[in-house]
Amino acid sequence: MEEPIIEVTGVYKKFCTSLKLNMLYGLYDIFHFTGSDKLPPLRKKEFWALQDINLNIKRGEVVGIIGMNGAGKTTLIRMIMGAFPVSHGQINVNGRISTVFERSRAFQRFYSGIENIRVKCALFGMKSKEVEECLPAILEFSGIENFADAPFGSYSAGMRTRVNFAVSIFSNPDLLIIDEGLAVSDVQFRRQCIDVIKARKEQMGVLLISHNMEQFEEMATRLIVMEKGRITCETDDIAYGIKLATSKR
Amino acid sequence: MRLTSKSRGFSLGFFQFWRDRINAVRKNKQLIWQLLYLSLTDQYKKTLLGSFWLILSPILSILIWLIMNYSGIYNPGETTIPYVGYILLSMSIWLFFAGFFKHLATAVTESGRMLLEAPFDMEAKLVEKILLGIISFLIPLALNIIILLVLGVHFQWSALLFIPTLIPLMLIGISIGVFFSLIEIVFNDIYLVVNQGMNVLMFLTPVVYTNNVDSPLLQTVIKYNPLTYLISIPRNYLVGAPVEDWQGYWISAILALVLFIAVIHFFFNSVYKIVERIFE
Repeated sequence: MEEPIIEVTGVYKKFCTSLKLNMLYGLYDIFHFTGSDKLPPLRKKEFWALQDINLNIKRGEVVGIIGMNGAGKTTLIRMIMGAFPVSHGQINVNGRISTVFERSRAFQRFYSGIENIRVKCALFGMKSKEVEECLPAILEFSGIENFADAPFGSYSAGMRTRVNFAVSIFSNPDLLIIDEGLAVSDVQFRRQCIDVIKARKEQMGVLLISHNMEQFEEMATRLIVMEKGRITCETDDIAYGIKLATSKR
Repeated sequence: MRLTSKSRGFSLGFFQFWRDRINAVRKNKQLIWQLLYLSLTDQYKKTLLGSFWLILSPILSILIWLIMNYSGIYNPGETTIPYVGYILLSMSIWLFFAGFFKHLATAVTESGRMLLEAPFDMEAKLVEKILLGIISFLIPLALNIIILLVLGVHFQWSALLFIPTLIPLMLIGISIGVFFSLIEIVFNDIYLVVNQGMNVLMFLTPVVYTNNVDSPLLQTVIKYNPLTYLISIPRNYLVGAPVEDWQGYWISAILALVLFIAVIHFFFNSVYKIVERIFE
């Protein structure tokens, strides 16, 4: 049986609502080395942002996460990426992860498109040779061949989205995470993205967060409904999952 | 990679820990070069002269010291080489040490935007900052050596020991920078105080004056300050001055190594627990 790319087991995540207390907790955590297998207690002004999350993703799957704002979708993917530490539980990551967010923060506006592509590919763990090999494909897919040497800050929102998506998909990830990453692109480019995801689906897993139900209907093989930091439904029946999630809005 | 509440999969074994760090650096070579490229060029991206400022900035500093020296503002006491050469060299060595603190202390927080999209291995960022510190040191050092030659200083073969004897100073600079990169994530004010403290520390170390000072209090501070030995021995090697105080140097060097090992272990055991706080 194939090993899952991502295995999330009994994961909890807490946050603090007070900035000052959070700073003090941070200082305590720096010097606190002895861990425990028990669920940690909530300290003053802390709350559970995620509770008892269990999730597996394998190659060939497109898993959609649906839920209202504040349900914990982005927190969950940031934990899977390793940007947020786990408060309790375990996440196993077997492979390279690439991300597409609605607005990329990793691009440098005074650097050219091609310089930014090289940096972002390196951030996703690509080697120099790999980067140079896939550079023409990224430029062609994002349609910026004629503007590759122009400063990134001069690109339109659509161009930035195209570069962002192209780098992520051509970095050959094992898991592609899309968090509203196609929201600002035009219909034609969205179509192009969906087609390329479908074409490469068997080589990777996809974790898709969107408020656009059509994207789930077209791509998702499984749907997870989240509510107040918990998974309330996990189903292969996409239409049923969408109906359940939208009925709660 | 295994992410849990207790660790990020770091081995507790000493040798395995260091093997893992070295492997992470090897794995991230491309990222290190890209980050270094950004660091070296970013501040000059919107300038007319571009990266030429990397050389122009130290030239301007040298000019300021030359003007100050020949106007007679400084009178530091007896030095084995012309004072202006002494001060330029001492300042380069001090900035080599302080540069590691400056570059590394903000290493984690300045990665915030990138970490949110691709949480790369922190080893890459640390190595990039160390390389940046070394490059920022070598450019003014080369210019200062030219000035020393112009001033009539003759270099001997023992000057080649200058670089290896600087290593303990580098380890202390890295240790302080890496330690405060963690503190800076949660408390900005501690970092600001230490940043100011570095300026004070420079005046408690024989950088702009020689070891032979009149004040008994300053003599005691100099004697027990490990930086005294870690700066004066490489400096003396380079300019061919008598090399003394080997005992003080070796004690300071061993302390530097122990501090470096402890801080790197501490950093990697803590950083991923608190890294989310830079996004607040």
